[in-house]
Amino acid sequence: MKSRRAMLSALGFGLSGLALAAVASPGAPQARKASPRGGRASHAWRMPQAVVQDQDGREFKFYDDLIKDKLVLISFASVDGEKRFPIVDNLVKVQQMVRDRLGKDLFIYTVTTKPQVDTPAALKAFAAKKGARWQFLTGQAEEIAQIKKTLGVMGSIHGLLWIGNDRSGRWLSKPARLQPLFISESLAFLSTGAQHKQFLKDMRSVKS
Amino acid sequence: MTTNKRRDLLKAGAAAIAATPAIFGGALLPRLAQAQMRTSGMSTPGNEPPSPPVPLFTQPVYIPPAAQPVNPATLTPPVNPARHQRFAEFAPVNHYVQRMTEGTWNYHPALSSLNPLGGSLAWMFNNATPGETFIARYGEPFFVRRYNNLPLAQNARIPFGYPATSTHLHNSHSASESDGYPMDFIEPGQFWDHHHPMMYARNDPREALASLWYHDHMIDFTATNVYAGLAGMAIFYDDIDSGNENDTRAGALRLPSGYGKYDCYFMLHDVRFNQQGHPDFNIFNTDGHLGDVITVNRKAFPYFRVERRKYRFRFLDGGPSRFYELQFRDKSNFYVISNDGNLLEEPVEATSLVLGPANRQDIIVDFSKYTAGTSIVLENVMEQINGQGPTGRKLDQGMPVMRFDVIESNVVDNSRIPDFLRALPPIDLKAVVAEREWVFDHDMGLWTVNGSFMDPTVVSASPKQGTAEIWTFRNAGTTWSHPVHVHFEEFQVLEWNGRKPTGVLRSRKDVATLGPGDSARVYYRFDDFLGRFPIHCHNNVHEDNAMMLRWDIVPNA
Repeated sequence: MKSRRAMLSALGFGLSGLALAAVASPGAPQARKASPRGGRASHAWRMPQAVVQDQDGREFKFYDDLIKDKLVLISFASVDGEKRFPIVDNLVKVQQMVRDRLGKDLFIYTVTTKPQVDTPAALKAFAAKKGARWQFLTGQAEEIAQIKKTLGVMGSIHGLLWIGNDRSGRWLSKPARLQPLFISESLAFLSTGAQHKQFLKDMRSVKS
Repeated sequence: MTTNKRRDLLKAGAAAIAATPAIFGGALLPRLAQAQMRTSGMSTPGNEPPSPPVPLFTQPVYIPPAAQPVNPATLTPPVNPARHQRFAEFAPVNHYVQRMTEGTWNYHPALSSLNPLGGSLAWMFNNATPGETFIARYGEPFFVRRYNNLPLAQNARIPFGYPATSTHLHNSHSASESDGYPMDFIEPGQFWDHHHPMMYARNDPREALASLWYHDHMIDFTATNVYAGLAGMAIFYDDIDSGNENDTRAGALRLPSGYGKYDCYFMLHDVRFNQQGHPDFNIFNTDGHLGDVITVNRKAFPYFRVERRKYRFRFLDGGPSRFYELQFRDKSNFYVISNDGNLLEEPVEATSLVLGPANRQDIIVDFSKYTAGTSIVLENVMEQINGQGPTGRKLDQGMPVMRFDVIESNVVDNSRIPDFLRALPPIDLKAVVAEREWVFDHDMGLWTVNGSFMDPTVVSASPKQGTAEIWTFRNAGTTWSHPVHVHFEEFQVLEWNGRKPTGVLRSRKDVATLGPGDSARVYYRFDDFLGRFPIHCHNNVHEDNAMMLRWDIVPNA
């Protein structure tokens, strides 16, 4: 156990420390960093405890506040990148399918890949234009970089989204432009509870 | 005389084989590709902690028992023939039941002792991983009912995978409904029936399959579910590959025989264990997964005691993402007799064996040249530093896999290495009605086939039953390797990077292991059953990230 903890702190906290040192701007969210990664789910330690802001300027710890114990969909986009490879339009259709659960037991996030230009205000305008009622996340570049690195996002355009249930520790990825039925179905599958079937739309019955 | 002639021929072929891994079509990764390896690609996001130390060669390899049939009258509900194509024609001779459960498995006592459960967490078939080996014969159809008794996701102790399953018998010539299509999954509490007709494709004995394996194929979770333990082996015998080295019938090949004795199946999985001794998997690394403990039939670095005689070893790369070049540390030679489990026309003498995920190769090793007490280490010399594929370089210091310990024995060895094994079916280019290209690429975080990704409602090709087609598999990537797998039918290579196949590539295959920039042009026929099948990358991590398409065999109206 000890050696594992040591390894984790070397990998995870060391990294966060570096990122913090690099930021060193006034009001750096040092206090928030103090809470360790983790939780019940075994993948929690891989999740960065980055600090992000949504389009309303509210601040969150990426893991503790947005993922821990939740069913989530995490996508990546930027206002600029949406002109070339739009994914938000497709997610709006998903939102329509899960509207009764959104914000209650199911959460959708879009993390900007261009935090330097995608301010909360810019994201708010973009989300409003698209009719997206979920949270768009931005933050200091180093914070966003941690999230991107953890979830394997290289460039500013990313076609893969993640769906995960932190309580069961189950995660899967889907192409962000896959037909919305399959994305909402995956959200149903990863829902906690023996009664998750109530959420299924039975994609297997879809005629080809 | 004939033996000498063959040996000379083999020697000539061996030089070429030894220099170039044959599975990559006789070509190493292009130098260009090596030069273009991005440094950012070298370090996978969040390098994983190493496994706890595991001593080498301290426990015997696990030989899964042969599956034992059950009385079909005990199946409730009874078998429903209406669910299966051509069921009456291929009425099952043997029925089996498998139950998938979560439990613990002893990969190695050094790992099992690290946690209070006394074993490493595993998902298993009938309480073991690998599950029992199915030993089947052509002409004797069999039926498997598989129950998913795994816990619900929120109760599962294995921290990856998803407890819905669809079991694929790779690459049995079975109808779509028995094939383990990724969307034909069952959840905990449900069962699925698999009917394997044990017919040769096109009723042609030249289409016989010999070394197969079954594994989970759940959509989005194949890599993790197989890694958790949902895999096992299958062996098909027929009149000539009869499984009897003393067979006196004309034409019998008399290959080393006796399952688990002189005819052994070894499935390789590279596993990474956490400090509690349980398998670990970074689900967020979409490049692929690399383990640092090589397991053979889910035993870490095992040994196997051998007599001073010939053995048939069936090696299978169980993935999810590691490629191997296996060789004996003493560089001794052996004879390759199959590719992807299908007998070659002639044995090929070789000193190393290249396997990508899901590739199988049978070899014959003659241990009579060793004295009792000799130990021969089998090692992997393929360098691979991330899940994307091999670097193209060989390891100076081989990575241990398993050890063969020669014991004192006084056996009569009636097995043979025949000059000729099994003829390849003819390639009839006049029967070709269509050509298709399948391009495997990676862009914007997406693994794509022809620029598209897995959508089970989209049919990307509909070959007509009774026709032949030429398919080209092309890897458009410069750093990635993609073992391309097509269900149901075997292909024959027409050209690999523009060259005619030689050596072990002159064969029937079901996985085309494409190195960066590789292109394979292959010949297919589509017969016997209708329905939906997938084409996908068998680096299962890529597959789970949607590098898969659906294609259907449709009636030739």
